[in-house]
Amino acid sequence: MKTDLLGVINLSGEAGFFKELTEHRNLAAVPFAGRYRLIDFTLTNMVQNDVANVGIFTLDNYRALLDHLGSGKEWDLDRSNGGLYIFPPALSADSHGYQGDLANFHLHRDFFLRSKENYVLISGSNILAAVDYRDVLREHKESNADITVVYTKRELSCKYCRPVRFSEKSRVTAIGSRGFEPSDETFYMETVVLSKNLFVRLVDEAIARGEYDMLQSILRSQLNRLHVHGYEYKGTAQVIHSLRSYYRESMLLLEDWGAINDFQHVYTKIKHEPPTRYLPGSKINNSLVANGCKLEGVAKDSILFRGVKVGKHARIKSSIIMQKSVIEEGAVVEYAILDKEVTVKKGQVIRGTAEEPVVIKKKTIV
Amino acid sequence: MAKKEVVAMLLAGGEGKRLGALTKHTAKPAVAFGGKYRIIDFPLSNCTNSGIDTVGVLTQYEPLELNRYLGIGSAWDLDRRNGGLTILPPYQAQTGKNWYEGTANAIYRNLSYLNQFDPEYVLVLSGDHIYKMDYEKMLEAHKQSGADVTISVREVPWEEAPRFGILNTDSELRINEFEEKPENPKSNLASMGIYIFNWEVLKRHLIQDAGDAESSFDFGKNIIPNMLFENLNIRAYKFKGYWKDVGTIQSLWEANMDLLELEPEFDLYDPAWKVYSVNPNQQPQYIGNQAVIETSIINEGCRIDGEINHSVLFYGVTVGDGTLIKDSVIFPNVTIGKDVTIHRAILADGVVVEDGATIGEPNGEILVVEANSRVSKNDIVKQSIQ
Repeated sequence: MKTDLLGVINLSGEAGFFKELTEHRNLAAVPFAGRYRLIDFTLTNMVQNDVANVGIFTLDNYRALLDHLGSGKEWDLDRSNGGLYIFPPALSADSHGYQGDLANFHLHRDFFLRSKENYVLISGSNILAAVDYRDVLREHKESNADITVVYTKRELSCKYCRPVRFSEKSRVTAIGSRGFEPSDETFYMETVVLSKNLFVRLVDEAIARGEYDMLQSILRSQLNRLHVHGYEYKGTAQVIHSLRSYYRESMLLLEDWGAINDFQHVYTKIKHEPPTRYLPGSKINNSLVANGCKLEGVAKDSILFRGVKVGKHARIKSSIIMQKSVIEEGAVVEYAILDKEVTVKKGQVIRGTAEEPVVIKKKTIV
Repeated sequence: MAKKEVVAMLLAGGEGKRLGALTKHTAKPAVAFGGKYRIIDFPLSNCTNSGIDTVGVLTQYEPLELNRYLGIGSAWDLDRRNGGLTILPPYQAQTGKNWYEGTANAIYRNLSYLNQFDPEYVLVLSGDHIYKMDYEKMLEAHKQSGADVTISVREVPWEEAPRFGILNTDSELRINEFEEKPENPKSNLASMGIYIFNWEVLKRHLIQDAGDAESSFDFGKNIIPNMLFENLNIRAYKFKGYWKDVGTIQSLWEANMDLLELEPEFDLYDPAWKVYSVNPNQQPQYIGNQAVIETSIINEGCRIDGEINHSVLFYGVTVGDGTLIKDSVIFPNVTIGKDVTIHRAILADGVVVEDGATIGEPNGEILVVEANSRVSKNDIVKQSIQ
């Protein structure tokens, strides 16, 4: 059954993070977990929650994302009614450049007005979590809230995350600045549900006042006037915002098969790669391996994306090797992240540390 | 419908009796192959790679799984506005309700499907061979020779020729005789069951054959001999490259093992000739700390903690600690427990093997374990389970 939620993936809040892998792509398009891009997780979760009408609001560097999403077919979003919409940012020749995400929503307000759904679900793309959106909507209605924000508990500090505070009965009283400390206990998952009419009205009012920031105008400044409810998500949330968090969250995938199992049915662009070949001399342990690889060397505690080649006597340890990279005979790669189509020549050594993994840019030949 | 120069008709209704338990509830073209594929992926991918965008798939035997797999042809880029993939099952008509009674009859019953495209040529394929072939090149040869019919052939060793349908030709490759399994072959050119017909010629012969009460409505037995009798211009087109009939358990197993060669003759990894298949959307495979994998092909969605040697594993297979799998083919979603030993076996979809069981022997015959069956703890399996 279709839900009454119109899905919005808002990519305008993510600019400026995680520069090492976002030179050629936006954060939403960063490859993750051997065969996906970050956006696959939120998008799949929406589809699996029967959200059948999804708008993606982009900001910059979206070529890779457009290539990845195509018509939305792989997410079952190539529909006559609804489906996938990708919106370019609100920029024009005579404007003063990019003003904020509300300007984006306002420019494309017809998307909201034309949709049949009565509620809007807004999410980012870099917090990976299996939030049950239908349950959020149920609680939103039951609590008679005007706006519901999704939060979760966290034990580690996080420069990206915003702490969230409540009064009695899960009523949100504050959404803090970025820079979460363990003493804050809970953070805002950048996921919001509200009625479409309220959303459109709040956007229009903010734009009329010359305000362009959703967090400020639609959430923070409404906390005293509207009933903003907090929905607690109790599962695992992986926040990916920096090289370190990317590396750490990737390595966590290797610790627990259960965690990987959650990703079992994540949809992504199909590449039609054949299965992976293990040749004599291959020794692969505690690793995630995607299809299309040709393995003759050693890999331990690593993630190998689609179509990676590992030559004889090559050794890979605690590394992330992206699509179509080649590690030639006898080369050594430790604590490194190799972007797509990197070649490490025969006998070369790339070595970072667990704290500071080395990043090798796309198409580099080492 | 827009006119199409060539329409492919893929015969996919065969029962595949010699595949035993593997085709108990599945049509032969839907049988798994090569860690990721179904047999029908090969002719369909050949069509796509050859630029043929209109394919009729003739189904009959146990079509559920095959139909589900084919869908609207998206996996092979055959979901098209004009043409594309069409599943053609037998149907009721005012002239009666009948099953397809032979290869030629199956096409005859779908003349109206072909008529709507007003094709110049019809390519007839079968869904039980593993090969890569550019049908466009065959079509070019067909046009250049001015033939009415072109039959794809391959050279087989002379001593094996008596097992095949053999075509005798002159030096220009014009066929003058067809002999099914000749005791004393005059040629070693074996028919591959791939035909290009000029549509008008084929149509006339199908209609003629349909009126012949004595006919068994078969291309090899009736249509081609009748055309030869009429002295039509029938040419052989020599195909070189890997081609394997996977009609028996032994040959299916062998063809899978062929993929494990260091430099396999049949290369699945050629980016210029991708083999397309329906994607089961699995996560990457996880290879555990104790796993030892050598000379094997493994698909996504597997979790391996045991030893895999010289084997082919499809998606979603779980292999426990202390287990050894050697010289075997494991179909999708098979669960294998701890301390299991498997030699020379084909385990069909969804089989569960409990801890400590033994299947097959190092030099034994190839065993098949039927889909969704269960091998109990510490069982010793020495015969196929079907």
